[in-house]
Amino acid sequence: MQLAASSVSKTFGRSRGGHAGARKAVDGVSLSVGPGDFTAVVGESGSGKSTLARMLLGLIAPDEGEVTFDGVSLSAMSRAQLLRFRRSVQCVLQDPSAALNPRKPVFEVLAEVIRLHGIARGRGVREKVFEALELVDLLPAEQFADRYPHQLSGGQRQRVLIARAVILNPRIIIADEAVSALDVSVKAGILKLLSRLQDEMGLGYLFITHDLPVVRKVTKDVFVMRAGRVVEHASKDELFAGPSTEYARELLAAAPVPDPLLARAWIRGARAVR
Amino acid sequence: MTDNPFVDSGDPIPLLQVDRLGVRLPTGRRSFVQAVRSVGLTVRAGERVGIVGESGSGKSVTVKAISGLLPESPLVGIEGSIRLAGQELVGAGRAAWQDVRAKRIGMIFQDPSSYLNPTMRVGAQVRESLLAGRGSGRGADETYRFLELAGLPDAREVAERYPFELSGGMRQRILIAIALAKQPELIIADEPTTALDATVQRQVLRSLDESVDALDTALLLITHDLAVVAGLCDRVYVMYRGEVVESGTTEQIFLEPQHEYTKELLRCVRSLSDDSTDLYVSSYGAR
Amino acid sequence: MTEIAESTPSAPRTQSVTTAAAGPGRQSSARVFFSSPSTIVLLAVLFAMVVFSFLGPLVSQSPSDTGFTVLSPPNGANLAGTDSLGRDLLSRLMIGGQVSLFVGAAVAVICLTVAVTIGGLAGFYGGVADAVLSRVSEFFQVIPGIILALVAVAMLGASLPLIIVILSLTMWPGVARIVRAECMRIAELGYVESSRAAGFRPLRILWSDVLPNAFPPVLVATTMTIGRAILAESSLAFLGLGDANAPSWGALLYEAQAYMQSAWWLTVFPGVAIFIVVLAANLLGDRLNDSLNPTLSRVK
Repeated sequence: MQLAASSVSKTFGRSRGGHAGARKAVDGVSLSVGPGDFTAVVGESGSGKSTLARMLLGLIAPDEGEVTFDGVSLSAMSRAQLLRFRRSVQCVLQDPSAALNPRKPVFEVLAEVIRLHGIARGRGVREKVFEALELVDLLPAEQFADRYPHQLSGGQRQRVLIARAVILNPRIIIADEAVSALDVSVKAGILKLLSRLQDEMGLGYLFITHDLPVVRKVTKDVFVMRAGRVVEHASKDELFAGPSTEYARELLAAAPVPDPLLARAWIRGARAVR
Repeated sequence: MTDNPFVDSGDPIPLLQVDRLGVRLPTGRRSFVQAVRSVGLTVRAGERVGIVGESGSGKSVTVKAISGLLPESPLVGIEGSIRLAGQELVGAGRAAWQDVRAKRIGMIFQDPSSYLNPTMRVGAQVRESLLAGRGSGRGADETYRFLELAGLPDAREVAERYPFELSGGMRQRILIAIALAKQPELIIADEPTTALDATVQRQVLRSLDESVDALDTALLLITHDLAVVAGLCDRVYVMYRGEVVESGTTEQIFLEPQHEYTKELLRCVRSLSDDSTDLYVSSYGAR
Repeated sequence: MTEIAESTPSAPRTQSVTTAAAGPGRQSSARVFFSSPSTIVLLAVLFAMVVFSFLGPLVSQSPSDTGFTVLSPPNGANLAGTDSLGRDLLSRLMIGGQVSLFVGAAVAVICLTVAVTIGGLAGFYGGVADAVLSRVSEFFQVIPGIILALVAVAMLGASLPLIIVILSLTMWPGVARIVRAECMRIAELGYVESSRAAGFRPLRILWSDVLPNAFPPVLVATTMTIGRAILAESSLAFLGLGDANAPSWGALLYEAQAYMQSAWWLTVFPGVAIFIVVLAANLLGDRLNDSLNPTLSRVK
């Protein structure tokens, strides 16, 4: 049940008259993730990590290379195979404020996914929805089921998104900046939830983020991306003990520490302008 | 609610004195929410003060009230006192506010894209601010000086650019330059680096640090990021649900927090950045 | 540094008080819309016009009865006066209202259906579909309406269905453009992407996620279309292109041309009727826009 990208590349802006303006968002990237993994893809804006995520989800087709799931290339899948793929590989995308349809109550958000994949019917749908809400600690479930997105806090919205992702019992979840927009006090709760779900369900995560402390806290394996390429790939421990590339060192040094003395030195020690 | 241990009769009038500030905002035709509740804070000339809080803490609304940027609707209720160098601003007319914003308070916002005119060269935008401000300089050289102060070394070259040609970090520095060019008494920075990448954040914070030093302006920094506050500010106010729950010097807040919320916040933040401790989930975060 | 398709770290940090007040504190658009007194007045006016036109004939004179004194000003028996054939103007106004209002509603409905289909597909799918459908839309937009009407009437004779079709053909592109723009915007949002990742088919996403959220500006445009259609039909009728068997208010104006100086009531009453309905429809559209647009009506 491995989700793998083999030397995938994606160029944007190519149609506008040849090479002028073309930008390689992702350049020859290979990685794979399976159940039980907790893999991070780290990079700044422009590194291509989000584009990579979307290719792995089959939302964007790679220009070169291929994305395979369980050995089958996404581009070669039939409609039925694709549906099964979508059930096994779910996503939690960033920006809780626009990730939910403002006109759909929580119940509908979860129910429609259940119905699409035929997990339950009639009465069963309701049960499944409540089950999912309980799984992500949105209790009492009945109350949350009737709420609309604008009636939920950021953390609660994120839990709904996670509920929608796990309701289908996937093997792999791709999370793109899933906790970046959350308050610190809420972040920890969501991260703990994700860890617990992994333990209980044997999930694998591909965690895309720019937030290094979070990477250090929960992940096991790290890919560092820059300008569309993977510049470093190491286990979490190896990376934080001593990164082998200059860029990774820079990234690590960029993480601030909430301590007055250290933070002051950290700011003053910043390099000159970029 | 805070009783200000930093203002005693021997001190000169503080630059910014906010007392019992309350802001009520409408959330519909007939319902309101008390976004800010009896908030008091002080900023002295040349001081660097931080306001730390999470979403819903009321920190942004407080800052908007201080800079007169709350919507001008009769439904918005402001009470209390905001005094800038002794001048009362609550209830002051538009002209007074415009004067304050043009000359005395420089603002740096979170998202440079919305606050920079996309069709005007950045040098011209800095110059606009310079001309409206307090200083006596008028020429191009003055403009370049502020651009350099904000951390943009090739000032002459950068001044000719349009905002879309600059990276996020550079745009934020332009905002800093614009704020500096007024030569204000107080600079208010609302989440100035939140939307930037980590590496760029550090550099922009350094630019802010140095330029505030160079001009000896006071700084009021609003952020959710404790590390930023730790690195830049002398004193900190911690806000939660519309109130100031604790205030003190940076050292006091970080090393000897008194209020339960502050302690919880620090525990959460430290658990995230510290390898040895487990993730800490506070009851404040169970929303 | 470009940021195409990249996740901007921590971008949504700007505080919205309504999020902080999580809970059923926010009023629905409907309540805001109906809570304004002027809106109630406008709705009442339109409703009165509808009742006047469709139920009025039950209690008034027969519109084709020529038994009254020719060209008499408003009096006890004929509250709006009579026309050149001795017919009661008030009852003709009612029949006229039926036609005008019907045309307005029919055109609006047709425009809405066509515009949502074409604009929705163009905006959501983009690419080739958009290129083709936009060209189609532009073609219909540049056709001069009056000329088309003249030619069509000359060739096929004036009839109400024909007029409705002509007006719809010229008016749908305006609404389609709005639908397209909204769909393009919404298609970029997170929840659409999430739906795609969940495995829903594009058409289903268009129907269930995109269109419902594209609705507000489209609704406003449709309300405006009602007003514009009534006005356009009146203009056509005024030029003599109306359906002789279904005289609208515009047709009444056509008949009144010769008597503008001598019998003011023949011009004023139909004219005022058109004015009131079109104004009310436009103002309501405005109100609708305000109430559906969350940033305008509620201070954040």
